Amino acid sequence: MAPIITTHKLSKQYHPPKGPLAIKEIDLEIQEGEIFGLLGPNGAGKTTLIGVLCGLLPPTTGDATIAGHSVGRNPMAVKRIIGVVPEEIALYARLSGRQNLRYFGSLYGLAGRELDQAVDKALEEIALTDRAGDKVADYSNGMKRRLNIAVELLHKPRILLMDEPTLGLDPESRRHILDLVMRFKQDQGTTILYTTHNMDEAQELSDRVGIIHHGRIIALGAPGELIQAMHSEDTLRLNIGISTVSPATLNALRRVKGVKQISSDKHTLTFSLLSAAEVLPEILCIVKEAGIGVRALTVQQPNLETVFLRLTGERLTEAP
Amino acid sequence: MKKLFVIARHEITLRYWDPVVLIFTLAMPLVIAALIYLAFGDVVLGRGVPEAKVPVGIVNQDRGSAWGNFGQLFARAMIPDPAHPALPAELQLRAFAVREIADETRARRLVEREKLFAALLIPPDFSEALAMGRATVEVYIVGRENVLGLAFKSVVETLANMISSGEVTVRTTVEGLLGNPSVRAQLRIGLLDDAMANVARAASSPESNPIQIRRVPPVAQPARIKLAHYLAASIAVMFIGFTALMVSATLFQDKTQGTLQRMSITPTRPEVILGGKILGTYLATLIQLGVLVGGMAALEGILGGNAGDDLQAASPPGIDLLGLTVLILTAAAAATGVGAAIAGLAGTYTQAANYGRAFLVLMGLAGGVFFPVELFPAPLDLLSRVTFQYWAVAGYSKLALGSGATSVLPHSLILASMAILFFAIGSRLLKRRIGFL
Repeated sequence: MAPIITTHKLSKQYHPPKGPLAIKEIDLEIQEGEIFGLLGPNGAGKTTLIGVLCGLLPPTTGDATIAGHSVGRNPMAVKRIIGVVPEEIALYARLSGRQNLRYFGSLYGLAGRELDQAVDKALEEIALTDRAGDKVADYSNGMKRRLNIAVELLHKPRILLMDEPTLGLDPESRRHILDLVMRFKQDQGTTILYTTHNMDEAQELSDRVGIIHHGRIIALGAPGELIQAMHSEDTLRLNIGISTVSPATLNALRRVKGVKQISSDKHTLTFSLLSAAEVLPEILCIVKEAGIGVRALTVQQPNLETVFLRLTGERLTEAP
Repeated sequence: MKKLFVIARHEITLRYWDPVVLIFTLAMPLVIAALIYLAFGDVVLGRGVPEAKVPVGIVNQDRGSAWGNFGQLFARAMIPDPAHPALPAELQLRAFAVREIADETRARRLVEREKLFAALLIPPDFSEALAMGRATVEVYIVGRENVLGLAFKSVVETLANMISSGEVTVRTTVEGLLGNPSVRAQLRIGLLDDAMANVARAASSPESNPIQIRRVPPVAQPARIKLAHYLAASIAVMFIGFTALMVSATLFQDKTQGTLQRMSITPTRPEVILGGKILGTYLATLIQLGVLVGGMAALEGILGGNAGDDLQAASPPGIDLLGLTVLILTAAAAATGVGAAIAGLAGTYTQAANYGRAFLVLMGLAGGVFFPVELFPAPLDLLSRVTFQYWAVAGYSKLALGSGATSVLPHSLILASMAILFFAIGSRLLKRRIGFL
C-alpha cells in the first residue's frame, strides 16, 4: 500500500542563507490509517515539519506529498483533505464555541444544514454541547484544547496533523484527548501525525514513532522495536542517605554480575542493569554492608525516553 | 467569493461583538459631536473676527460738480490722512482699514469673496445731487450676519448724521470748499451762493439727511456651514481613520493568536483571506460612518439650537443623499486603504496602533479635521490636499451647503483613487509581512 504522507529530503531553513535549519533532509513515509508519533524535545523541528506539510511554510529543499498531491505545487488539494490541530489554542476567545466552529467550518466550504450537523457532531464528540454558547474565554484550558481539535473534525479530514495537542493539560483532560485520538483512528480510519515531547503519549498512541532531534529523524519504527533495538537495560535508582560513596563500595557494586554501569550523583546511585529483578538483592546487600541507608528505590524499565537518551545523550525533557 | 463575505462578516461580528469597540467607535464620536453642538450650535464658519483692522473699501466715482468734489471729501473723511485729518481725532475710524478701489465691480467682487467686509459706493453724481440737497451713497454688504460689515454701515450712517447735524458737514465741506482754488474763485464771483444755501438748508433740517445711506441687497446670500456641522463631520472622518486601523488589528492579532494560520490551513486562497479582512474593515468603517452621519443628523435636530430665520447656514437633513452616499462610500474606502498601508508599513499590531494613530492625527490636522484648512498658511493648505480627511470633509461641507451630487464628484473620484493606491501599497506590503498569505 502506498504511503499517504511522503517526504523526500525535506528541509526548511528560516531566513536563508544564514538562518537556522529547522528540519534537515527528512525522509518519511506514513501509511494510511496509522497513528505516527513524532517524538522530540522543544525546538527539535516538530512544528516546522507540520508547518511544511500543511503548506504554511514553503520547504527550502525537497518535497512532500499528501495523498499523491504535492504540498508545494497543489496546496489547495492538500488542504481539502487534511486537518491541522495547532499547538497554540487558535480560537477567537470573544466568540462562543459554536461561533468558532461555524466560522472555520464555513472556511472549509461547509454551509447550511451540512454545517449545522457538522458543528453539532463535533461538539458532541468533544463533550461540549452544553457549553457551546459560552464564550471561549470562559472555557477551561482542557475545554479549549478539545475545541481546538473539534475545529479540525468538521470537514472529516483523511489526515489529521496534531501538534502537541495535550500541551499544558491536567491528567484528566489529557486522557480525554488521548481517547479522542484513538477514536478517530478506530471509528474513521483517520491517519494521524501526532507530535509530542511526552514519551508516554507517543508510546501509548503510536503505531510507529519517529524521534526527531535537531531537525533530523534519528530513529524510526514501532515503539517496541525501537526499545528492543537499543538493547536497553533496566535502570535502578537508589536514593541514599549520604552524599558520597566510597570507591571501594562502588567497585564492589560494579563487580556484581548483571551491572552494566553505575553513576553516583549526590544522594543518588544510578545503575544500568541487564535485569533489575535478578541483581537487586545482591546490590542491596552490598549497600547495607557499607552502612549506607536507602531512603527510596525506583526501577525503570526501558522506554522511548531511554531510546532518546541512548541516541542523543540527553534526556527528552531536558533537551533544548 | 462566498468565503470573502464569510470572512468580512466574521470581521464585523468580531468587531462589534466587543462593547468597548462599540463605545470607542460609535458612542464616543457621538458624545463628542453632542458636546460640539452644545458648544458651537449656532456658530457659523466663513467669517472670523480679524485680529487687525477690519478691511473695507470705498469707491469714489463722484465726477464732482462745478463747486467741487464732495465724494472726495467723504473719502478723505473715511481714509485717515495723519498729515491732513478730515475728522477730529475722536471721530477717526480706528477699527477699519479703508482702501480706495477704483472699480465698483471689483469692489463688489471683493466683498462677495469676503476679502472686504463692506464697500462704500459713492455714485458719479454725488456732488451734483448733494448740491441739490439729496445725495445717496450705497453700502455693499454681503451676508445678513456680517456684523462687521453692518458696523461699517452704521459708521457711514453716523458720518452722514454728523453731516446732517452740521458737526462735520459744515466743517469738512466748507473747509474742503475753501481749500479748493476753483471753488474759492467761484465764491469770489458769487456763483456758488445757491449751492451753499442748499447745503446749509439741508444741514439745518433735522428731518432730512442730505446723504442717504442705501444698503445694497446682495444678489445671492452665500450659505455657510455651521461650525458644529463642520466639526461633527470632521470627528466622523477622524474616527473612521481609527477604525480603518482595524486592518492591522485583525491581521496581526489573528497572526499572534494563530487564527490567521488556521485560516490559511483551510482551503481558502490567501488573497481571499486578505481581501475578506480588508472588506470587513471597509464595511465596519462604512457602518460606522453611516451611524455617525445619521446620529449626528439626529443630534442636530435635538441639540443643534435654534439658528433662527436669519441664519442661512445649510442643514444636513436637507443634504443631497446620492452625493452623501457616494462620498461616504469613497471616504470609507480611502480610509480603509490608508489603514491597509499603515498596517503594511508597521509590521506589528503595536507599531500599527501607535504609529498609525499618530499618523492619522497628523493627517487629520493637515486635512482640516481640527481646524478649517482656510485658516492654514499656503504650504499647509496644499498639504491638506494629499489627505483623505480633507476631501471627505470638503465634500461634506459642499453637500451641507446645498450642492448636488455632481459637485462632490471630484472629491469622490480623488477619494476612490486614494483608496486604490493605498490598498495596492498596503496589500503588497502585507503579503510580504505575513509570509504565508
